[in-house]
Amino acid sequence: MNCTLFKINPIPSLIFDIQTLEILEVNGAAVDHYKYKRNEFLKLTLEDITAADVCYMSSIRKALKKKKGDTYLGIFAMQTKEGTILKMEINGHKVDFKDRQCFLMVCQEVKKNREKESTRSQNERRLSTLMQGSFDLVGVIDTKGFYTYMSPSSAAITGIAAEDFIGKDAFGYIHPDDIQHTLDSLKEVLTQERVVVAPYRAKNHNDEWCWVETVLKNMLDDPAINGIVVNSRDITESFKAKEHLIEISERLYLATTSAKMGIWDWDVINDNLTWDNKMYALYGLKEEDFTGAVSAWQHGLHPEDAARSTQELKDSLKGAREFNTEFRVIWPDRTVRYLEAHAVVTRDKEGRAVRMIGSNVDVTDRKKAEENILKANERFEKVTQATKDAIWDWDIANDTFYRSDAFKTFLGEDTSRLFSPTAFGGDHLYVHDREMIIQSIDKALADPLATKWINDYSVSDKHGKIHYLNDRGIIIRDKDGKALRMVGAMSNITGQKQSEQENKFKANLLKTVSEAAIATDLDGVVNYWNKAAETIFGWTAEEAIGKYVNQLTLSDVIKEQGEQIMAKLRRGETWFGEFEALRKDGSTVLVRVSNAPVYDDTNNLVGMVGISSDITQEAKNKKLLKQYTHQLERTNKKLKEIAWTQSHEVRAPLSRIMGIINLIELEGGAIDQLDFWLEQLKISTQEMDAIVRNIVDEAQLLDS
Amino acid sequence: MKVFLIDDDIIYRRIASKMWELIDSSVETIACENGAIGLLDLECERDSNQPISVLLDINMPVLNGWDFLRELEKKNFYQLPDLHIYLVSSSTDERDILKSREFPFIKAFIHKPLTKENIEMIINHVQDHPDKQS
Repeated sequence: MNCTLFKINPIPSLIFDIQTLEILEVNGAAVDHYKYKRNEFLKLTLEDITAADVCYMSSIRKALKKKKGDTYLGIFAMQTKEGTILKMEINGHKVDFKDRQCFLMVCQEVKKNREKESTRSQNERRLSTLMQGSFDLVGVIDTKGFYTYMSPSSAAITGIAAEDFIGKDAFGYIHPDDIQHTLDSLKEVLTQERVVVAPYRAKNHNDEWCWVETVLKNMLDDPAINGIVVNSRDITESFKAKEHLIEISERLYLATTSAKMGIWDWDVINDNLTWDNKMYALYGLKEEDFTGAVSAWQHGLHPEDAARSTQELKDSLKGAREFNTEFRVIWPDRTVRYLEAHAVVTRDKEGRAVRMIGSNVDVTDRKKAEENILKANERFEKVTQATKDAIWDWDIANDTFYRSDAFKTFLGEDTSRLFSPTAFGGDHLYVHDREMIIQSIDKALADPLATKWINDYSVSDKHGKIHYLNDRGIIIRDKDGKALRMVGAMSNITGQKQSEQENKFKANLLKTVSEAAIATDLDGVVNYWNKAAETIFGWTAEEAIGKYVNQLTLSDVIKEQGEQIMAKLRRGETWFGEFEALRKDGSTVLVRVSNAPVYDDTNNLVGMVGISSDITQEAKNKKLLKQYTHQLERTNKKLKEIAWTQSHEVRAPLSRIMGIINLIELEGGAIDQLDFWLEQLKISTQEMDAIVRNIVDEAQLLDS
Repeated sequence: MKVFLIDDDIIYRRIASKMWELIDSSVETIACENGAIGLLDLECERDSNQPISVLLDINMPVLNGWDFLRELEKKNFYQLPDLHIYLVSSSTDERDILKSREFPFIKAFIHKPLTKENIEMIINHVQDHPDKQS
């Protein structure tokens, strides 16, 4: 190494150990430039004078390892003793110095370097001219991001002259939000040859943001370039188009997702059927279970629809028809779904179908709704046939009237449009209170809030027979409340009316009887309470109806028994008996009750009825009678006793008297000892008298 | 013929004796004031062949008419071959009459007072059927 040449070189130069980066020698220019004295320099390493981060240092190390001979290391920020940052372009070559492997580094300040531009070769100029016509922006930046070169095309592309880029920080043009990722790319390219920078926004001369796509190429090693080539292209238009495309595809995705739409693409020539993810869901299949041929589609079809749909597909391939159809598919789990399918056929020059792209949409819900409507319509028709009610539908706006056949059954023959106010009650029918009915319809129609119309009326047919009708209509209105339509049902309540009258008669009859008649529902809630019930229990019908019969008539003591009786009746059994019932005023009344369950026409148990009679007096009488009978029996017995005992006693003296008389007669009146016999007669008659008195006394005793 | 008048009523016994005396003076009347005495007196007639009629009252102290009859039955009527027993009572009680049927050997139930016809009937019984009781 020529030391003198080294020392006098006007370009700052220094020698450092490749391994340790220790500075081993400097020249005078370096001392001038970096403001360190030579002995100070020799205590430093390259790192001490490089205002670079580790990344830069490692790139230097890397370059040092690789290169042989003259080496361009790149542009580095170097730091003087005073802290001034200098941008230096570094060249050099490996040297052996003091038996150590070293690097002779020649540093030239970049600014000064540029001044030498005029010396560019003819070739370079040619390249520049070429690049002027390029749509790409080609520049060179140093490792810090400062432009060292810009292609002449910049003027046309960015509106900024190429010269104006030189020395400018490339990041100054970049959108703040994009600086981070572009900076990362710059760092990346220092260790790699080529980096594609994700699109970022850069400012043009009009201060507008443009989308830019850039490729960075590390050409730091190329002495001709000595930097990072930046190849940028304005992709604003294409980027916007792409974004638009993404938006469209997203929208399509949303549409297909929300509409349960699947997209398919059939390569007809090779029978290669491609489904999107939605399609698998529509057919209930897993992607791996799908063979990708049109037969896989056919396989999923409902047997009843398979032949037709396949034919439709063939027809549309032939061009005989469009492929717009519906079919059912059966999932592997036997679920049946309805799909709607549309497709377009792509043809080659000869008109042969080569491709078919289409969509499938799940329309099961819609189909089911349609089916339901059909069913509902059918049901409506059936109902009109099945019901005894006459169904009518009046289109008010057009004054047309639909009537179900039941009208004939009701009224014998065809009737006029009973509900059209204009024709109401025409032909052979005589409608009672016609005006009143028309008024009530008009009133209901005129009230925008009225949704129903109900009326009971009667008509006479031509035979003079009266039909009682219950008529109910639902009013359908537009949003302004105007009545458009009225749909209704008419019941013939003639039978009901008659039985009502009959019932009324029966009810009156019940009113007049002296027994209390009480009817309840199954819970024991009173729904009928006649006049006698009012008298017997003290509650008026008004008070009693709606209350529990047991609460009204039973004291707490026998409530439990009352519940048992209720339970019995609910089982359909009857109950007959007597009990002491409670009256409203708290007093009690002895009643004899006959309870029975009540059934409706269809033999359903609907309630209970009880007939009660007040037997308080009857019971008293009975008791008295019993008393009397008892007394009489006692008296009788006593009298018998008297009769028996006394008859003996009476007969004893009597027979004696009669005996004496017989004796006197036997002696023909001339009786011995007449005095004696007279005396005996006297004694006997007295004895008898005493006995008779005694009988009378005892009889008197009986009375008391 | 002997006639036993078994009755606690002394007046009746005197009337009856007197009537028997007036109607048939050949009849010997024996008055007994209760059944016990009647049995004793009748026992004295044991094995007698002459007809004996007993006019028996029902209600008597010591031994009443029913007990008398039972005793007599037990004693096999003292082997009297011509014994006629009549119940004579002032009672018209049906029950007494019914009860008398328990004793088929009673000839008749006579209600007091004893009449001339009753006595003649008894005499006839004895004369018409002298050997019936034997």
